Amino acid sequence: MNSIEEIVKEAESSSFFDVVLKKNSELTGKTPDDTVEFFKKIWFTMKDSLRRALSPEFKSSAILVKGDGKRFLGSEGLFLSPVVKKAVGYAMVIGEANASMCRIVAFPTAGASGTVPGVLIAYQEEFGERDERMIEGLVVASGVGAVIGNRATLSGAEGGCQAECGAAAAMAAAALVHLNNGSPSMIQHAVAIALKNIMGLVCDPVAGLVEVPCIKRNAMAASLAFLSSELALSGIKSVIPADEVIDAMGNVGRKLPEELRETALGGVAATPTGRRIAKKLTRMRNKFLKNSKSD
Amino acid sequence: MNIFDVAGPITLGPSSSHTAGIIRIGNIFRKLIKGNLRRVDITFYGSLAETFFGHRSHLAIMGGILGFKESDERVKNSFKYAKDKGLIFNFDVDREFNPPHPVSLKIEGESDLERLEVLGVSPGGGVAEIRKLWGFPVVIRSGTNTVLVLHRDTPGLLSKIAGRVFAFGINIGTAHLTRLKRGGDAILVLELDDPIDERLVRVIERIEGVTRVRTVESV
Repeated sequence: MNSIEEIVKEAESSSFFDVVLKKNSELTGKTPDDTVEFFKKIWFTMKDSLRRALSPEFKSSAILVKGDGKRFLGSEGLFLSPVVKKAVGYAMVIGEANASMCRIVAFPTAGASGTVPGVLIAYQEEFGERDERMIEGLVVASGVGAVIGNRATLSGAEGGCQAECGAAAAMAAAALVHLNNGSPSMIQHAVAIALKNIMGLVCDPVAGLVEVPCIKRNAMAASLAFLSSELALSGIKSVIPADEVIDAMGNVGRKLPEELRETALGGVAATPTGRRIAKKLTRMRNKFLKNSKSD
Repeated sequence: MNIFDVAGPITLGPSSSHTAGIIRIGNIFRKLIKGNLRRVDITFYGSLAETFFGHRSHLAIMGGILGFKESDERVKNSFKYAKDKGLIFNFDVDREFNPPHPVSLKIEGESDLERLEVLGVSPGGGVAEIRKLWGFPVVIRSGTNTVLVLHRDTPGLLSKIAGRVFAFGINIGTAHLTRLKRGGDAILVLELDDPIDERLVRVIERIEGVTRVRTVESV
């Protein structure tokens, strides 16, 4: 699972999905059936997270962001197509559930956990795809994620937000191409386009919370997945191959100063408002430490 | 990295290193201390001392100590469960101490049977490690079947323990032996390829020179 190009080459006689399954079997010793079973659980947990976060009983315990996803889903459609609008809303709803300490699937990370389920659940609802096919999409997405993790990184602390929400966008884009019966090479172009478009994005969580700008970044990544897959499905190619884009992303990530890698010391975290929020959180923490003693 | 590493874990938000990994540290601690837990004192180190509150790592560690898993939403109310059980707890931060990793914490616990202090690390991706146990530097990793044997440093003891494990048909994946001084207390950390049989624990306990055996199981 070290090269998108290698998967695409092998997929000429089968499919991207089959090659990822096969390679993963060689790597882990798990049978394709076991793997599909594993992803079934992932898929239904994603749907369950969203269902519970959308229910009226859901209580947000996020500190900075409350109810944006639901509000957006209830708003009138304007520029986005129904599926994109829904995906963006769902991505934010799951992002907020994650911030509220609810059960989610880290995919590839908790911070970026809204993007892929947001895109895929919205897709299933709007296009009526079977669960079996959606699970195939998740396997394809994870194959892409594994290559990104192996060649670059999937950690915001190592590579910035491009490695989390950017990777999630590329993974979701790959799944969308697969679900639309795009060719393996189209998957490669969708991945390359998504990552090129988010190259260099920093990880700058305000007060260190996984809320601002993370939740809206999941919304952005969801929309980027549709853009990249539709470009690729129309036959547009990325001049730079996906593997090289991934390598570039890894290099850019390593060059990012520490302030812009999840330390909450740069980017929007370092703005006057960001600092004010961080100070407020420190006061809350100190109050907790004073009061938390039960003896 | 394979596709199982990318998909998941299924966990509580908001951050796998500050919630899932921390819950698992608590789970391991609960496995290591015998008896009914009466009191815990938790100290956050490094960057965790700053970030624990926003990431709810305090709820996570308490939930883990109570035995809740990383996908169990009861963790959100773990303080209430702890109080209902009559568990006394205190939280503190220590910025002076230089931890082995930015996301580190200490748990000091007291049950009706014993006291236990461990140093836990959450290096990322929901993995947990115990780095200090019974005063020894160790590495106990979540997701493994690990046997910990406290014993007196005597010739032949390692071979006896390994022999018992072999008799149960279990392969030893990794082994780490450390002693404080020659002839003094020593600790053996064995990672096994298969789940640990409770009978194996009792067999090892009966070996002369062995003072304490604890296990951590793969979850």
